[in-house]
Amino acid sequence: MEFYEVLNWVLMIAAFAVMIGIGAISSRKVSDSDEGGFLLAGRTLGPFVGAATIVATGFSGWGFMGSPGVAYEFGAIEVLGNFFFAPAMMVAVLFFASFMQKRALKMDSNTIPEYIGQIHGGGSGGRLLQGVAAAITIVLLMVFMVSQIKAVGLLGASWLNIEMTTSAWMMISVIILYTMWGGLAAVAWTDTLMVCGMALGALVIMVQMFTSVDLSEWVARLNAIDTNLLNPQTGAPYGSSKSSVYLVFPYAFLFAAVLPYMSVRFLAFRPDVKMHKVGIYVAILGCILSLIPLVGLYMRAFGPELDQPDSAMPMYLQTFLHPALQGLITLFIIFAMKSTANSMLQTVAAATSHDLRLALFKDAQHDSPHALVINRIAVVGLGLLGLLMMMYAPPFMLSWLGILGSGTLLAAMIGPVFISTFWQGNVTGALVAMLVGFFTSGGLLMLTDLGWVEGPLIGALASSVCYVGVSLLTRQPLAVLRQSC
Amino acid sequence: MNSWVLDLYVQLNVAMLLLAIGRYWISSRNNNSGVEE
Repeated sequence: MEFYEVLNWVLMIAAFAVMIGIGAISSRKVSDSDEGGFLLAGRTLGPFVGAATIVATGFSGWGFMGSPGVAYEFGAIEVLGNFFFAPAMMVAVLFFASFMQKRALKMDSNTIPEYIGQIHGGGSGGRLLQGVAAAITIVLLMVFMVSQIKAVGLLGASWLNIEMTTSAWMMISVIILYTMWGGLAAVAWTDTLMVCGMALGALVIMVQMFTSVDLSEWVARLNAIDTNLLNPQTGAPYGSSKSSVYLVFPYAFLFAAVLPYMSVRFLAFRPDVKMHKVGIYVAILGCILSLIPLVGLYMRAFGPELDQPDSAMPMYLQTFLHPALQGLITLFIIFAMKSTANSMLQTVAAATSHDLRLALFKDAQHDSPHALVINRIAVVGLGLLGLLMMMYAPPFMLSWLGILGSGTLLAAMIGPVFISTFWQGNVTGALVAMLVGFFTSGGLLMLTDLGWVEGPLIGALASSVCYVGVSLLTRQPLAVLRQSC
Repeated sequence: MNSWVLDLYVQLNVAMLLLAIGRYWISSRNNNSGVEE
């Protein structure tokens, strides 16, 4: 085994040991008598940890691996498109999070499906909504999680020179272990460690790139290859019009505000945390991480020609960085993937063990002595299920299903999660909105050529209209009925 | 930078940071003067 391969193993073992240690420490937040301890970190997240876990979860491995590849192929427009996730997360934190947090605190909601059920009046209708929201969350996030496990498994395999399946087993085992131990607290604290690594990795890469070349030469080389790289005349790959790229902003805002594995973090903040402090941290971290796609432009100008644009980041690391730094940055990219995968596992497990349990069994109780055991079993079971799905699912489907999963979930949840925080519809409206969002976005992504931004946004619009329209239409007869009585 | 996309990227980055700082400053001032957010 070569020296740098040994170094990679040492780095991995040290990182995993720290994460498991964090899981052990965070388990102090967990108790048998309060499910919020496991599901919401006991509502104890401070401004920095809260911001870090939001940014780490939002910037997945895509930002480090996929986005530089798109920038290599399509040019600077991807730098702008990827950047929109940063202001979108900040706007969601500054102008939406506190509303949702206060309502959830008042109702004692521990998960997003539970929030949906409670905000629509609870009771049997609320339980129905909670169950449907949980089922949609489980189906769509499992698919997304499987694609993340696959991605982290592939990268770990090339990093450590081992089989992909072995690598995926190692990576997911550690996630299962600390998530089972400490719940959302463990996920948030490990995310904080990981996002610091990701930001450090981004800064190291920027220092290497900007100190090694002259900026004017960089621009001249890109223009010599294709003037569209820096001054695109279309919005490709986001759409035919230049303005298509701006659609990423509303998409990313809804991604941050509505998706259960993102917005559940708003519920986990300590009640006295001021969101303007969180916003500052989100803006700084987002600003740093949004620089990563520049690697694609650097590789296009100065790197070897690539057959596969997706290999822009691995080839950059191999060509321009010292092997020791290459290993360290690869660890940080693995962090980016793991920080998204652990959040999905935690959300899917909570939807199964908490929401489905409460929705299906009328007599099931909050904070029962067995709830913690059930929650932990769900983490282990669903983590292993994700691993098995990854091993047997056709590889070509995984990345596509990942896109389908997040976009469709966003379209399904906009009415009952986002609109309901400001304007309350009823159970029928919420149910119809979830189903219309699910089938519209899913149908558009599967059956048409619409892009990954446009399909979910149209689904979200249809879902929103249905939420308000159906709620108003089904509310009126009831009011008339009450008056006549 | 001779690139409308990268110029916009830089401007939006600055705008994002200014918005975050501005929101922080307004909230801190309101808190100090006892105004409930």
